Amino acid sequence: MGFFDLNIPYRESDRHAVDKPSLRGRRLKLALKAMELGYTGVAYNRTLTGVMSESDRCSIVLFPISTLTPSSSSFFASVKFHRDILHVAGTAPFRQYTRLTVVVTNSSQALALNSGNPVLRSYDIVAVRPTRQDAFDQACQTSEVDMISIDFSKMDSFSFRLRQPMIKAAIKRGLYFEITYSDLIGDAESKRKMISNCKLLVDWTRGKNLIICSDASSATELRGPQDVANLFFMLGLSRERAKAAISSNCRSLLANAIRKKHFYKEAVKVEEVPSGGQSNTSKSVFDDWLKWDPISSGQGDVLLEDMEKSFSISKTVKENVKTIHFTSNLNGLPAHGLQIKDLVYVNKADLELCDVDKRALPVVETEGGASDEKLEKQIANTLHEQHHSLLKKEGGLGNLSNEPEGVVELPECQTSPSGASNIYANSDCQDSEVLLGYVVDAKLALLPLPGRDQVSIEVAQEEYQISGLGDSSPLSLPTFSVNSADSEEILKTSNDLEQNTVASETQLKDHPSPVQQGNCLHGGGRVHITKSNTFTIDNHITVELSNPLNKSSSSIFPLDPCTENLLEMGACANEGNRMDEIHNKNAIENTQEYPFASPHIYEDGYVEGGECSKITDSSMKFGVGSPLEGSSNMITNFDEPTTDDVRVELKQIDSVPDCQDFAKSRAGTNKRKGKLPHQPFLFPFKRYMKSKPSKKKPRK
Amino acid sequence: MVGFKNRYLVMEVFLDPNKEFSMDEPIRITSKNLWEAIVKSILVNFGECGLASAMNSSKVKYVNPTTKHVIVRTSREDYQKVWAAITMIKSVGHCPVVFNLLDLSGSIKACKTAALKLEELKFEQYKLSTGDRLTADAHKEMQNCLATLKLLEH
Repeated sequence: MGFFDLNIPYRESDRHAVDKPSLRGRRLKLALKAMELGYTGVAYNRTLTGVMSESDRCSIVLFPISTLTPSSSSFFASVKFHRDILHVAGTAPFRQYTRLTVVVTNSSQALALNSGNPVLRSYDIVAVRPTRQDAFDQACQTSEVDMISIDFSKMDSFSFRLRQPMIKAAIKRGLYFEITYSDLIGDAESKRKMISNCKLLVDWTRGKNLIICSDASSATELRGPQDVANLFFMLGLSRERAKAAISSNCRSLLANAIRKKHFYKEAVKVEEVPSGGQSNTSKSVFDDWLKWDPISSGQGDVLLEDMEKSFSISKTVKENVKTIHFTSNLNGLPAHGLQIKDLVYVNKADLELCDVDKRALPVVETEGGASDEKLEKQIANTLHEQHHSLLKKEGGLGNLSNEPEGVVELPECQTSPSGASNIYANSDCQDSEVLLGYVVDAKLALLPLPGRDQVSIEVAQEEYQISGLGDSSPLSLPTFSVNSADSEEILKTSNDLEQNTVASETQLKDHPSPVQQGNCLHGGGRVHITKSNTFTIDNHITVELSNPLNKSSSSIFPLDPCTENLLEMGACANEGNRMDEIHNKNAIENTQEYPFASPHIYEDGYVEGGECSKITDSSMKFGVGSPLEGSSNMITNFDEPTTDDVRVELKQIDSVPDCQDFAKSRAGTNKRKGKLPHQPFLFPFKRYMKSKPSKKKPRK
Repeated sequence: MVGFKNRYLVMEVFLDPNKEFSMDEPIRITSKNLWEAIVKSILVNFGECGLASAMNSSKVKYVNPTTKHVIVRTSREDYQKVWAAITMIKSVGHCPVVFNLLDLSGSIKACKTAALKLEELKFEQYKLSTGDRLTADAHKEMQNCLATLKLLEH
């Protein structure tokens, strides 16, 4: 559970503010200090008195990664150190929010605090600071704000009294009360007043709906979360409540506030998807669902690792990555943006990146500009997210191949929807946004399957499908060596495929007797994969498949079981998204996917040796599924040495058995020998995939 | 049976957080000036009686000027007061400081193990931040401090 400090004063917009750069510098220092002390989120608070005007719209600048550079490199170690002590995840992003506090002196001003006020909507959190009794009553009962902040050091017996029914009403409505602790560290007079006034509030709320903030004007007034909790324990709160007041209460406040801001009627979110990269939209939209981050403000989330990278790595890294754009538009508000967290720098040079990031990063579609390879990788990446658990550790990856160009392979991604999140790419996202692609491939089983007898192709297929569109890269590499293939052979076949994909028509090295004929496609021989730089797979598939493969495959493999399997796989693989794609592909893939269906099918055929049909990229999508994609993504770089392919193959191979299990355990029972720990949303639309007639219940 | 029940707080001190990081440390923390600051803070916040009841069983056991780690022992009854008082310390001497609790334990043994681990981590950070300016003295001092830490007794 992260700790939040929701009151860092923002004075740069004050009318009489002078010396803005130094104010900004101070705010930056505060943010950095908060981060160092272990806080995971801050909110920059702007105080408004009097009448609001259009010019008061949110103009708070959230610090992007590039600005949040600390003065020394030990900063990151210090942050991690403190986070460990507080048991906060090291990978949790540091979030920034914008907040407005409206000082209200009479009830007419309080009337302005309603839900229709556009100025209020431009801030993430809205707080009201009543200074008189009627304003306080109105705030508790009717104002549409997120929290009520009272300046206890200035409150005296003449200003207003806290009354229990009012407080109860406010809590019932879901408002939070804020207490700031900067007065406790200040001088004696303010300390005295503050304690005597807020004691009442503390007693009545008993910690419920209470939030503790710092309101620190300089870095000396910040205190660590545990210290703050202890301070309030002295005031009468119980320990658990005090800790909750800086962590879980803040979190629920943020979740509510963000939800109100971004969702229409708190239920429906409207996003505008950019027109570029159309083919990828369907995928990404659904990806969003699964990776929704409830307390992200859309911008300003900073991953610690990214900060580190930006601190140490030169700027050139960023140039290699293309931003992915989604714009979410709600009444003209900025997009629910790119979560800068989960960024991955895709860079050729930075192999080490893959070691650093431990999360799956969602891939956001790139809007133009991105090389296809990268795009595909990214797409594949997103798709793969769910399958990471399927895949083996990427440890093998490192062993096997050099880093493919531009692919950042991230080790396992945790796939809990809340955790990984963020898919949104925001066109507004500010600089550092480099986005990322993410891992995925790493997961793909690079391990050379020792002793694995049967590699189910299905997994690969699954992966493949997941990767869905956008891969012009020949995902294909169907790896399926099926029964008794040993890893070497698999390797070889994968090698074969890979090499083929590399648009070189070299006969694969000792291409083993088609790895047991069972091997699909590549078992036979060469598979040429030509590079294509198109997005849609479908095109390729249709075109390509008209190739020899079709004829060979269709005759050889029964389609139905394959289809069925495929459908299943598709369902499985598809995280609910690609239904369309799968359907589209099914026809095409059937021919190719024969191998997936069952091993024995292969016996009869495989693409005749020698004749491996030239399969262009898309056609190669033998349902190797996303892992393949990942690999294929990597492969798109057709100049890569074979090792990459091998790696990919391995991945696929590895993932295949999982897939097969998957197919077996249809109904969402994800017990695959512990491979898939939890995939909650993997098959939401599975039943739509099965084209079974609907049951008709007998009417009585 | 142990008669005195204590709490050992391992805290770290941030010296002058407003300043940009630099190598010249404004002051050197010692157990003496820390103790003075704590006493002053308890006096201001908890008064004479508070100070009197806490003073007898409270002590600054260990200070490491390089990593700025401090171990304070207090009695079990008063540790929250003392901890709150330490949190409310604004300055030591003329230097503004921020205290941050790292670990709280009930026995000297647990405290020692935790402190050793934290010290090592912190020293790594220190080395990172000082970079080339790290002197052999710092290492030696660190070794001394670690040795005293291991010999700590209640």
